[in-house]
Amino acid sequence: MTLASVRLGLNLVLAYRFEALVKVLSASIVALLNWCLWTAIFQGHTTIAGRTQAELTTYVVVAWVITTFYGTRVDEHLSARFRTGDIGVDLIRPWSIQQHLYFRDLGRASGALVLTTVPLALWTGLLLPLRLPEHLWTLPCFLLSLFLAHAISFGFAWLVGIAAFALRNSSGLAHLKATLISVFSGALIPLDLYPEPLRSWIMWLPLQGMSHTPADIFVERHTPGELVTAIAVQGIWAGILAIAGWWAFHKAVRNVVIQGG
Amino acid sequence: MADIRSEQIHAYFKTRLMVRLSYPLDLLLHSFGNLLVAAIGVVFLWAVYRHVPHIDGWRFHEVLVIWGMAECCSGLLFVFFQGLWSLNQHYLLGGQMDRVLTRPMHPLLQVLLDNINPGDLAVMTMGIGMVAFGAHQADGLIWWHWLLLPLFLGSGTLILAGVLLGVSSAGFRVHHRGTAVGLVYQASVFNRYPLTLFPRSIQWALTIVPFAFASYYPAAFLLGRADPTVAVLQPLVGPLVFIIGLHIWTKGLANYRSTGS
Repeated sequence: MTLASVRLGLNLVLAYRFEALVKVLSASIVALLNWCLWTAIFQGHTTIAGRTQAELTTYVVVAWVITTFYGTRVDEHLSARFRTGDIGVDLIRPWSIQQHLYFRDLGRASGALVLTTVPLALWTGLLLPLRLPEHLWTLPCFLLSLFLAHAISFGFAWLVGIAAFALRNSSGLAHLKATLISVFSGALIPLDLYPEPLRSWIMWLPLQGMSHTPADIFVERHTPGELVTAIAVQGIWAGILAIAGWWAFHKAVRNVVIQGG
Repeated sequence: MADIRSEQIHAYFKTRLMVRLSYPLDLLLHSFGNLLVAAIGVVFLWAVYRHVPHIDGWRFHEVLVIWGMAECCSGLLFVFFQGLWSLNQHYLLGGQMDRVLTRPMHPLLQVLLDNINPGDLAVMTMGIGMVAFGAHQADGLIWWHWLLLPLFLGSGTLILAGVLLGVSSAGFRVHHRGTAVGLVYQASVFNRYPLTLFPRSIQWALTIVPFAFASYYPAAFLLGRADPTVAVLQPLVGPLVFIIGLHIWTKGLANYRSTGS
């Protein structure tokens, strides 16, 4: 069952290969832009906010590249199911729609990983002088963190999708979601560059687990102790969001009116 | 194509605008979201300038003028050319193009007017605000140069629109969900920064495409940092690019094959 959901998501990605190519192109434009920008900013500086040039430029590239993996549109998908009434069919099926869509999106993400994220990583890695991890354990930790980043992204998008249904609005909220993620996830800029107290507030949000944590793990900012904490925080947020999503879904379903079909 | 009188276009425009305004909450959330996206850019810039006094010789208020002009052009583009974003998904894959083609008005005009999006005037207004704020902080400006600003912005918008038209016509040949159009948006992000930050090859690419004429060259001229010849050329580049884009789009339309759905 789980595997079938994953495969469904994967097939959907593979069906649109042209799109994956365009995504690689468009994401590399931004990665290149960020890299150029930060290289220019570093002229005459050795460190900014305690980060070296190699560390910061690598951060911005990695933080951006992984958005192609965790970025999900499940919010639009879910609110469309409510709007069209498809949710009625989902409710009579003998499995949890939340679980099904999560695994389906994991399939989508794995497809994107192969078709978009990895080619993008290789291509930017060849083009730009990035700082590669020194420790052996960094890579598995990074991958685990990436997996949790996707779970957080899914959990957040799930709640946005339910909110879109409750507010009878989807395009505006989808846009707002993209904005919140681009600021508070650290996809554009390391979060510690924001001034206090903004920085501390952002650190209390789940979104920092999407780009900031994995990218900081990649550039090896953490001591082993901090590393464990950072990943644990991601896991806790993923859990909280999943439970909140389950609760909100059951609340929302009570208000659904399905007009036959 | 049957000739159609301007009153009829006007009436069509008015009904479309009313459709848009009939969901005020959606419109409000949408423009709020877009405004937030635009404002985030400023926060990002400000966060960076807290750590460095200038980037490659460009100070905060100067980048603000360039960024503001880029934001203005994007805002205007979103107001009038939003239709090209839904061209692939809604019109070509969704089969709405068949309906459009049976009507006695230029198909492009229908696609654009169907999706007119007054909410993004907010983004344009914010762009103007950024330009005004940046210019206010600068000294040694020649005031009568600034009379050219509306001309620069109009031409800049036409540049983006022309490129967008050309790229969106790819949808007539390759069926995809419209991500190629997103590429143009992604690339237009370069418009926000001084051209000199980028490697020579990118500078050339942006002069040929010619995104650099949308905001960087005119802004640099207004700030007294670029050749006046650019200012003479810029208002011509926009209409030229637009005509080329329109030509490519119309050619592409001739290749249109309905998906039958």
